[in-house]
Amino acid sequence: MKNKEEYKNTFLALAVCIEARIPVILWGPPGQGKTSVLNSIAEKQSRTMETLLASIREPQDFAGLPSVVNGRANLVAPDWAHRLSEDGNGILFTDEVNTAPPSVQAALLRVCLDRVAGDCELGEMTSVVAAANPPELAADGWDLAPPLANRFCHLQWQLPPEIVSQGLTGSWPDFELPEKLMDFDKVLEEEKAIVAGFISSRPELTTVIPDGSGEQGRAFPTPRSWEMVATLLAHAKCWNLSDGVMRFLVSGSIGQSAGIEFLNYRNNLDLPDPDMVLRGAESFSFPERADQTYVILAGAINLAERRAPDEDSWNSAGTLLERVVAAGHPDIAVASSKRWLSFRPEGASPNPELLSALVPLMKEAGLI
Amino acid sequence: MSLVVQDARLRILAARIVAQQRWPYASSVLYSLKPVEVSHEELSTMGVDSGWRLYYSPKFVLEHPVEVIATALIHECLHCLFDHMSRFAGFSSRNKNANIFNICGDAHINKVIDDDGMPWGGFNPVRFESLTKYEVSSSKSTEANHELIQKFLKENQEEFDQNQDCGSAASGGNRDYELETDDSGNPATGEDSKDIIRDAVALDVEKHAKGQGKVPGELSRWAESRTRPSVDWRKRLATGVRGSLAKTNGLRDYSYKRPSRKQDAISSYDASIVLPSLSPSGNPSVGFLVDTSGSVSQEELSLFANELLGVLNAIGFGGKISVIGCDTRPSDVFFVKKAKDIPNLPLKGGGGTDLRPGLEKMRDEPRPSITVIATDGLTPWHELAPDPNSDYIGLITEESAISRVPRWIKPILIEGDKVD
Repeated sequence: MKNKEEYKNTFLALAVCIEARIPVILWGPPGQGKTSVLNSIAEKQSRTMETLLASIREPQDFAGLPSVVNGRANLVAPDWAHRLSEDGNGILFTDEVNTAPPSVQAALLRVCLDRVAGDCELGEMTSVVAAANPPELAADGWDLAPPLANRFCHLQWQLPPEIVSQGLTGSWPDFELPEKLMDFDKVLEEEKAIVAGFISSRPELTTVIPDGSGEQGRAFPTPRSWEMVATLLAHAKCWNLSDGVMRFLVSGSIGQSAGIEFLNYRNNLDLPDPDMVLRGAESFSFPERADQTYVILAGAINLAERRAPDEDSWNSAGTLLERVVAAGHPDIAVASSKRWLSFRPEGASPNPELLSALVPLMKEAGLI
Repeated sequence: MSLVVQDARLRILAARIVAQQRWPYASSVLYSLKPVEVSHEELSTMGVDSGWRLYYSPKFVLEHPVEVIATALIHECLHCLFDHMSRFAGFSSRNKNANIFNICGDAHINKVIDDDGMPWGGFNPVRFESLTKYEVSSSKSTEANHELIQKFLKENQEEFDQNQDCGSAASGGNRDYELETDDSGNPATGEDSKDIIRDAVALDVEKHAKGQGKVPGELSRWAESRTRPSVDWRKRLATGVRGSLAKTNGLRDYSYKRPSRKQDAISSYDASIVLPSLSPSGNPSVGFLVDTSGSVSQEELSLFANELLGVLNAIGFGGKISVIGCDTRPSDVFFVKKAKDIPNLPLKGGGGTDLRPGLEKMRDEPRPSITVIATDGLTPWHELAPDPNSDYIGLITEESAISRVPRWIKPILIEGDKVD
């Protein structure tokens, strides 16, 4: 976390995972206030929280104590599991998971995946949160085994100096989640459709097992983690959370490589359809970000070119260029206008006002 | 608004068109910069702030032809892409200096620009050649070069004599001429949007390069580190060795082979409960197999040995490591305690690579619980691990050989350090 904004985004991403009941793991050195943040979330939502140190636990603390009753072996669950099961809506927090021996990690797998400890079911509504020290920092840290790593959304957790000095002199910042604005099930369907669309265009990213140069024991794409992405994004969208939060959720689930490409695809889907832009040229309002204006304009002009020699499309594209100039981006208009002029239908002529706005700039840039 | 300012704005916009034609893959970042003019007294050239607003002196802009201003624009874009601002804020140094950091960042950026053959006209930019006395170089990161200059200044009791201001995007802080974050006419670009734009540029660079377009090498390396981040091999070596040692070094994992010591305490309540115990300890030992066919340089070898022994020291492993050299035939076994002894070992080899006899010798005699192999990876391998009780870690220097490494080896690709 580089600054306060990243801290806020990470905090909200954590809150989304807890709400979505998707297991989340916080990576960071000790002493970063992970437990206190979780305590405050649990308290605010009036949920039971159980904190366990995985490194000093034994496999049977998660898998249940074997006990023979009437000739049948039971796996007796420890007390914490029963407390969570009775609450039905609690938070299980396991710290130092990667310094736990492999057999303990293996036992944890079932708790995280099925929310079952021994013979005790914790219930669907129990949230699972874990924390780990980066292996190079831990005294005898292990990489997480890939099957366990793939079940978590991974978030980096290291307090930026800004937050620490604010916390020491006043109060540690706390962020509230707004009310949910949209119908979750409907949004989830949309997000699943986006993920499905992306996977069909990039099938090789469906499953990518990390190799020698990537980060082992962290997030990587599999059908399971793609489904996590859809669920997490649907929650984030219902809360109207920022792009920064979504970035953390996506790269935390499928890793940065696939994450960047997926988010770029998803952002481009958000851009308006070129046909709609051309038809509504008179009233179309360009977005705040100039780089998006560039992409939208280029897309619309592409479409008009494909429809050449259709005079209406050519004129609409001209209207768009005028509007881009009026919005204060004459250079963006110039970048596309050369192409626009190249497919001018016979008899059509550009608006003289547009030309008088563009020509001096084209001359200055040495284009004419 | 005076005519001069109008003309200057026209030139900035024209320069952006020229820059966009040179580097179409940088469109997203180029168009994200919002041009704002300031007086020449406040800023004599051009600069970008933390909200990606582009400040320029009208005098500077009109003094140079549009092609040179386009070069300067691309220079500012690279400050934004390389994120010099957050890196200045994030790196820890006893003696941080924004001006020196700015100069070091500039030198890297201008190297990319020079390699691409862009014109500078009458303007004289910062180059590594003008900083030779500080021993800075393009193969070191901006952070490392900053430290070298500070070290030189301290040892020679000198003041830094160059001055450069590319705005807070280059080195953080706030300048007097910079606008408020929430300025109504030119609001700052937020952190989220900046990351999205960097990602978009990185993907466009890769797309352009795949389509047989020409992209400067430094820029493709930057794009690749963004879209396919890799972990420093030193970190991965440390993690691998720690994990493997932990298995043998002391009580590490649970099994039902022997009953737990807590068994008695539990039995007094319920004799039917059976607890596992931690498995007993073994004596860890480390082997280091070196490919001596000439594919691993002497320099790389001492680097690997240094890191390996450094990691072992840090986790309190006091023993010796067994070193074997191998080209197609294994050397004798040497026992080494200090990294500096390794270059003096008679490990010379040559011609042809087959590490299998070396691995077999390692299995037969020192029988280490961890075997670290330093090689380019271009060797035949055993189908199954020669010693199933040993953990194998491969330090592989040749990227293309990674896919041929068998599953029983944990491969670590050695990559050059990131510089921008």
